[in-house]
Amino acid sequence: MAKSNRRAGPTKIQLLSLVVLVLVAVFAFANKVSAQGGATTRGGGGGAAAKAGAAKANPLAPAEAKADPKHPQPPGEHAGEPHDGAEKKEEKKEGGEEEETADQLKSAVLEDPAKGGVPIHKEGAYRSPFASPGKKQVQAKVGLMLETVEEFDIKKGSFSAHFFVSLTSDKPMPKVDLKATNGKVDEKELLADLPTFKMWKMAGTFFIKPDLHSYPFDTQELTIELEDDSNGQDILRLRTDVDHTFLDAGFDVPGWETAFVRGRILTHYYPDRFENDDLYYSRYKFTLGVRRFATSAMFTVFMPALVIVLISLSGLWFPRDELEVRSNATTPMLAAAVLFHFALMQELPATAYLSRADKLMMGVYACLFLHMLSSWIWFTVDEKHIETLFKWAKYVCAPLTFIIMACGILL
Amino acid sequence: MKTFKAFVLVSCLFAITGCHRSKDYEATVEITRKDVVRKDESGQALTSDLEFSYTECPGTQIEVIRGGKEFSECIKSLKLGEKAKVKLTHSWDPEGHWDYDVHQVNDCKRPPDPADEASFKTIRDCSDWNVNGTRVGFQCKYADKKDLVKKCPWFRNH
Repeated sequence: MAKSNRRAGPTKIQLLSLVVLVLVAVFAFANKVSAQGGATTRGGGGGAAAKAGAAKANPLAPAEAKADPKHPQPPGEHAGEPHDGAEKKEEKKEGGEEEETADQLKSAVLEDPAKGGVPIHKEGAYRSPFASPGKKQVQAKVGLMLETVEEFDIKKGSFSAHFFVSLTSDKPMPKVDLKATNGKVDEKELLADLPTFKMWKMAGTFFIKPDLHSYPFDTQELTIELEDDSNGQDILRLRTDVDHTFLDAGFDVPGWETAFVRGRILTHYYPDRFENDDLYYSRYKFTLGVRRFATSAMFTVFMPALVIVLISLSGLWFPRDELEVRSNATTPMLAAAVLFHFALMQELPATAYLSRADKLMMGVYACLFLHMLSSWIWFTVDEKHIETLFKWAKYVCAPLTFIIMACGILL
Repeated sequence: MKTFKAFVLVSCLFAITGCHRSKDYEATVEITRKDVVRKDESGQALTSDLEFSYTECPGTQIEVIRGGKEFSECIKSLKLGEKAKVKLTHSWDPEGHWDYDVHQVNDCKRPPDPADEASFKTIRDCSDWNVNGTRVGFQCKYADKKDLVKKCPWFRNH
């Protein structure tokens, strides 16, 4: 009886498992492909090109956009939406800036209309019409106290934050209006507006590009970039202030460990938007580094993957007579691995590279394939070799499984 | 069999308590701020804040502790800029990390109150951030403070 079983083909359970597995795999990878296709670029640090593009696309943009050509509406904000009171205030403010910009433009002269019709400043270090020759440069220290970070969504690459920003200088500053360049400020309250001291309380949504190379042991950089686009570096130069850059008492990002805080000033240069667009701008960049808890990563990603492989590995100890048990220890594990990998992918944005978790899962798939192969090979060889194959499958597959998994974890 | 079970149990308990055993330390701090937060009708301080920094540890460590009536009375003798000795206990926090509590400043006892949300510490190790050999900003590490932990082990939180 046992002899007749030996040449039997794959059982019904095996066939059913394979069909389910193929369906799940197709569904999972179709989803991944559609996620990659639907991925959109976000506004942010590289906004200059996008800004230029936006200006080109809509040359007859409303006055708000004209007054501030470098800061079109951030992602997610729709031009057609009705304006509320706060937005009206914002419009009024921008109207004021328009006047200031006009002052700067007044002193510029049109030298040669054949060169594009952009007026220039002949005096001073910069020829840009937005430069302010004759005015003295003020160096202002930027302090930032981050109160909270909420709704950090790694898939969208967004987070919202509440924070205080202060500017202090030894000389009177020009009129300053800091704007976010990698997101949008939803609330902005001016707490102090003195010539040498200015302070705001802000709340906004910011966008980042998550780095998932090390996932699930990744560190994400939550960045807040602020720039005053009405004052070039010729009149306002920002400086970091380590003594007044802090996280609030009891600051915490749920699910993440605070790793570091960085403050830096970028001397920002826009690609030429017009002739003689040579003015630099000071951009303040605050970065909060948050790291995933290692213990959590171990238990949520590595443990399930290892358990799947170990259960599958245990199937190698079942002889030919227990083929059904042997295959049930392996094939369903492949389905479990695919589903687990699919669940992991759901939490993350599509990437062009493999994360550590992806590499681990590739190791899992390789091991499961190896274990299934050790059973399938029985159907292709002569019956007399079955016992030898059973022994060698254990001797070869078990160490190979550990080597593959070690590579998946460490590489 | 009973002996074996007891051995396993004792070993496990020993391992758990051994891994997360509290330790007491003494450190030198510099008093940077002293404020009475709440007073009674007669003007007696009910709660006070004491801010200090750890002078012998690398990096920046600013700590504010809030204490009750007896502590407020006792710290009156402390002056700003004065060096003081603090006693602290480094212990395992149920949240899954190590933490420490200051329970004495010189001779002033300050039993930590678990419900106290006003006390806080900013423990960080800051350095310049250079790009192309030029300082463009700063970086403050809140984790991986190897140099700090080596010299002042109570700042270890992993």
